[in-house]
Amino acid sequence: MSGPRYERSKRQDQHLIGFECQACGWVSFPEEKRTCKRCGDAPAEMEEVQLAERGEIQTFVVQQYLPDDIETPQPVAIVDLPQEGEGEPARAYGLLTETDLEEIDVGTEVVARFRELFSDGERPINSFKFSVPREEKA
Amino acid sequence: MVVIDGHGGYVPLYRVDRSEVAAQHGGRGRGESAVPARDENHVTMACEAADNALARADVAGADLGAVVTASVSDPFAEHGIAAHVAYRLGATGDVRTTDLRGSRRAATDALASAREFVVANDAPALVVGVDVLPADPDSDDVAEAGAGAGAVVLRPEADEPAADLTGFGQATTGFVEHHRRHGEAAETGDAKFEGRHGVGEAAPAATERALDGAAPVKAVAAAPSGRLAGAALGGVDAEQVSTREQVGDAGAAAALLDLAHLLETADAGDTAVVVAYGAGGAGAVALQTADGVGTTDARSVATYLDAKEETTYAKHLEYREPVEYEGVKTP
Ligand SMILES: [Zn+2]
Repeated sequence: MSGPRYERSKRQDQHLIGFECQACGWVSFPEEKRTCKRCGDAPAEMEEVQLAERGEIQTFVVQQYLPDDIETPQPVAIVDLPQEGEGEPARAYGLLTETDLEEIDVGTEVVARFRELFSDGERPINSFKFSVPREEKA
Repeated sequence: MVVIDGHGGYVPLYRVDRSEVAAQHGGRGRGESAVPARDENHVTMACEAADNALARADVAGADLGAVVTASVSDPFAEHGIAAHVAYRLGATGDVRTTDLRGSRRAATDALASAREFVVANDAPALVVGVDVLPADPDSDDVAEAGAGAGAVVLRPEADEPAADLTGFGQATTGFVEHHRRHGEAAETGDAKFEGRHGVGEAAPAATERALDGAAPVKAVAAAPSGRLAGAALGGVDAEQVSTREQVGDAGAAAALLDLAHLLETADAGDTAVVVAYGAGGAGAVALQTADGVGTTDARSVATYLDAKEETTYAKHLEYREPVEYEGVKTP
């Protein structure tokens, strides 16, 4: 399919759909890879799987220098999102939102939050970020 | 009969203390107003409330037949909210979407429209109110500009509904005092005049039609000011459930956010009424709460009200402006 990237990946960007390699079980997210990054199967047979909206931070980096409109420090995390069913979790890269650095560590549980990721001209493009659950701030 | 089978609200994390706004802007201030984060917009906030309502309903997003949204602050003339909420929830294809706007009556109009859809099609419908009121530093109501969302799922019947919808009423008077152009501060006009000839003529008539003689014990109201919201409920002797002290003016969404809060905190068997007053008249919806009231999950309106971070007047103004970056690189 042609057209802008956010239209092509709209479904997985808004629904947390991953793609599971039928040869080895590795889960690709958000793109469906033609070649499995783990077992190298090509063209890989990928099956869609639904990912959970709650996962664990595996590691994170903190970005300090970003365009003016983005608040810093901006943590970016690698989050393992389990599948709704059986199978391996997907490894997702995500920005953290409404989360202070003191609140996160490796192993912290975070939830997927549907947020404005960027704008295409005036049009907001929404997809997933992560945050500590709101109830933990109550 | 049409029932509410799920209810949920959403309030942004950040709050500005209205007394801080008053200190810099002039005037007096009491309470707080919710400030959306930089990366929140009407669609994302509506989705948060809708997720919470659907989680408590015995229906999946993909099974919805209609999504009706109400907003008086959608910044887009063409773009819409309802279809994007529907898409995110998995309700695509043969799904009716309706964006109601132009008056705070949109909240009760959305409930009425969704109810008619449910009756005609025997399919569930989602109603979401979402607003981010503009904060104009030249305006007197800058401190009160709030943000929030509320949602309910309507169905023909349910095993454990939160409420039965028992009556609808409206009063179209054509009266307009408070009004606002896109991107400009509201013209609030003469509050006394509006009280007498605006809300005073429309709200009691709509409420009476909806209640049809029933006596409510709880009520929520959406109106351009707290004073007008109180006046909208002038004809009923009921406890007003309102988040306005903590959230500020949440526009048409206030009716649905406060309704979610009411359903989370009410006992079963209570008569309640939702009144929305705005440009052109008023609408009212009567309901009878049932065993599905309350909440067992963590995402209650009360939690959203408790979980907050103070922010500044500058951010109260700045966070409402659209973001201007085209992509963030992830490693
Ligand atoms: Zn593989």
